[in-house]
Amino acid sequence: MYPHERSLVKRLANQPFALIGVNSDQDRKALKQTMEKEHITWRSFWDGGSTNGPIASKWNVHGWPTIYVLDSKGVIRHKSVGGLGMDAAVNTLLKEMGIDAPQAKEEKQQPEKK
Amino acid sequence: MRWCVLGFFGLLVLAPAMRAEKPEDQPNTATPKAEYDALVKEYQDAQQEFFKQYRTAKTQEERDKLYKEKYPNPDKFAERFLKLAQKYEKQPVAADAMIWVLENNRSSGPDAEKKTAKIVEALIADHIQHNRIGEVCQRLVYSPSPLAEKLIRAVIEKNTDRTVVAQATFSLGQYLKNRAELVQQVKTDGDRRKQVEQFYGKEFVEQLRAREPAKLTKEAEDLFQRIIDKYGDLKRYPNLPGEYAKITLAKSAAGELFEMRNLAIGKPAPDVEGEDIDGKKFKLSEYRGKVVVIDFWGHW
Repeated sequence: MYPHERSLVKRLANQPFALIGVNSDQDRKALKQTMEKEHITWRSFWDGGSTNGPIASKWNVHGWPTIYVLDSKGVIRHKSVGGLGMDAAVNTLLKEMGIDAPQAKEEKQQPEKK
Repeated sequence: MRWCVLGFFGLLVLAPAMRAEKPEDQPNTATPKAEYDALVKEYQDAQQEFFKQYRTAKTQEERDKLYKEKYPNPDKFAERFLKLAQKYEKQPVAADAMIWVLENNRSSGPDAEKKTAKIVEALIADHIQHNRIGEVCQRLVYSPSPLAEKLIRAVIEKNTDRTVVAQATFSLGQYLKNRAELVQQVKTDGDRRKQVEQFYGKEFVEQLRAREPAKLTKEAEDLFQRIIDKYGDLKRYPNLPGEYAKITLAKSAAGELFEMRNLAIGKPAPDVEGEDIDGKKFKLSEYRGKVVVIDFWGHW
């Protein structure tokens, strides 16, 4: 999942777009190391150190990853467990704002660097 | 990143493990139950053996060969479980055997659907009081088959165990909530409709299109409300460890209602207030004016 999110964030770096995480890890220190190692640059809410944290509970999230896509007015326009359709939804919503964002390149099958 | 879909896959993985820990009621190996257990064990052993060899295989060729020769095909085992179910028709073990088939089924399409239909009819006719029928309902929540709904409704109507009826009621709520979303998609999204049609056929899509999402949603909401009113004290995941074991049906049903009423497509997202990983406070609404992806994630 990270490579996909990284490329989305990179592709839309200069656009009115933000990826906001809600993180369910237990250990904040270990998480910071992971984020550095994996080049996770986007901001995340800390959800109290569990998959049953206050935000995930309120949003009734039982599958990871779950994604919601909001338009510029803050209206929910797409949701999915597993993150399917994220890029297409984001592109459509940017287009509604009159923005032709650079398109995603064909996903390359690259092994992740350890 | 690992996948974790609790409530569905969670139960799927844990349920057999829990059963395995139970002491045997009848150590006699000549009982129908022993025959069933032996078949389950044979499948598990074959699976373990396959994965063991698969891990040590060195080339892709070896792995392909292994898969061809040694992979314990659940569909083949299903035939043996169904024979067992026929042999002990109307006995509880027949239901166990048929439930194994439902749980391990890998195929879809008209033929698989016919087989499922037979099983569902038999479960309704002879095994509606079976102690695992509530689990079956929970597992059918994401099933595309209309038979899933038939079975769940029959359990609510005829089963006499309060916890089973509660589980089935919750399952029907989730089933209808999912179904409402699917019907909506099929009615409004041409690409999605084609995709569903390819997978499940034209007839299935027509059946979906004949249903009203608003009605399905209303019934689902009523069911979750009934859970809160009548079964709220029961536990949602009695078999899961830790924090999850404490979650009540009332809390889960309230979560489902909140999602249906406030987190549906087209609704303004509720604001989120919290702190980031560095402890700095921020709000989701600060990002208004931008397209936002909210990503529930974890590195576990």
